[in-house]
Amino acid sequence: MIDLTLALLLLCLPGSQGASAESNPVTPVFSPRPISLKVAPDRVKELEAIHDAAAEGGNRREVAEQFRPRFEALASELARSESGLSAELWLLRNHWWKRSEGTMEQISIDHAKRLIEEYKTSTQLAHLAEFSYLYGRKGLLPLMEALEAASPHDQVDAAALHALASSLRRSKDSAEQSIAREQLLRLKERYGGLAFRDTTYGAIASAMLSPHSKDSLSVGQQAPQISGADVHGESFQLTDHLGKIVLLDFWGDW
Amino acid sequence: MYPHERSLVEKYSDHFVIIGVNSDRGKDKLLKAMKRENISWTSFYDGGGTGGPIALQWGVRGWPTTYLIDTKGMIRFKDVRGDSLDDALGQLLIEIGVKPAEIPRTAEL
Repeated sequence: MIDLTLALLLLCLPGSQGASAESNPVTPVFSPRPISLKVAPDRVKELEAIHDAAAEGGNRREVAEQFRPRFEALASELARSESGLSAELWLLRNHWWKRSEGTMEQISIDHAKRLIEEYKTSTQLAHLAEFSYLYGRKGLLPLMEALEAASPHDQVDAAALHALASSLRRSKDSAEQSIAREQLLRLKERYGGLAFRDTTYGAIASAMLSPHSKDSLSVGQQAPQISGADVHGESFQLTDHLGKIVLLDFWGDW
Repeated sequence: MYPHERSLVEKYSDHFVIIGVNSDRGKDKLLKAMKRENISWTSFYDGGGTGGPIALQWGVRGWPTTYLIDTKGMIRFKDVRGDSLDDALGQLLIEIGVKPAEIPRTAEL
């Protein structure tokens, strides 16, 4: 009985039988192509890699300008997917080409506001807070409030707290500095275990709250301990190198 | 920059080490750059961005930033590279009784 119902249902499905088959040739059920188990490549990541290679040693602004239409095309084609957001975030980070149309902060804020409307999942929204440096100090608070209003999720609240504290702790105003401190303590207490990029909010908040964090260290000070696993997973303590001269090199390949 | 630093590490392997703290987004990016630049010294992947825990603790806000730390763990020089690194390292070597050898200056490499 069930089989029969299924068969009837299948017969009724559009395109499975009947006149449409004549105008649109039916795809063979058993595809002659081998089935690939590979995950579809992320086109945005691929484009980013091509862009990064092209930008290396060249005029970054010009190269980004050349790539902008391709990222825009991907952003609209893949709208509302994770990949679509990656394309949007690339555009968000590369807004200086629009400078003639307004201040960079305002352009970034407007762009982020549009993305808050379009991208609803908590992980997607949390991404927007990562680029707090783009929005300017004044624009940040209303934007983070909009972000938190869009999702009550922990990931979003943690990202917004982190963004606000990162901005406020650099303030010269001591009241703002103490707000930043409170935010960091809250971040550590409530969301310490949550992942942030390849580390946790707990580790980030602890580092920001440490006494060395406000200004960069200067000559004559004792080097703070660095302890943990290196890139190959080997455990490391800076103090193991006492007795040797150490060049500590903070770098990035960008 | 790195060929010169590598030659210093090779020359003074008993007294001098380099520790890299990388703030790239993505570990694969770091590993690729290390391979390309032939970086063999201890390197940290600092949380995948410029707001990583080590950079935050050290208060680093500009990249690259370098610190030269003496044998007692005190920061003695900041942002030395090329010839100024040679001079600073030479001074610290003399302090521990090591005579700096004649090493090629950055400009000659």
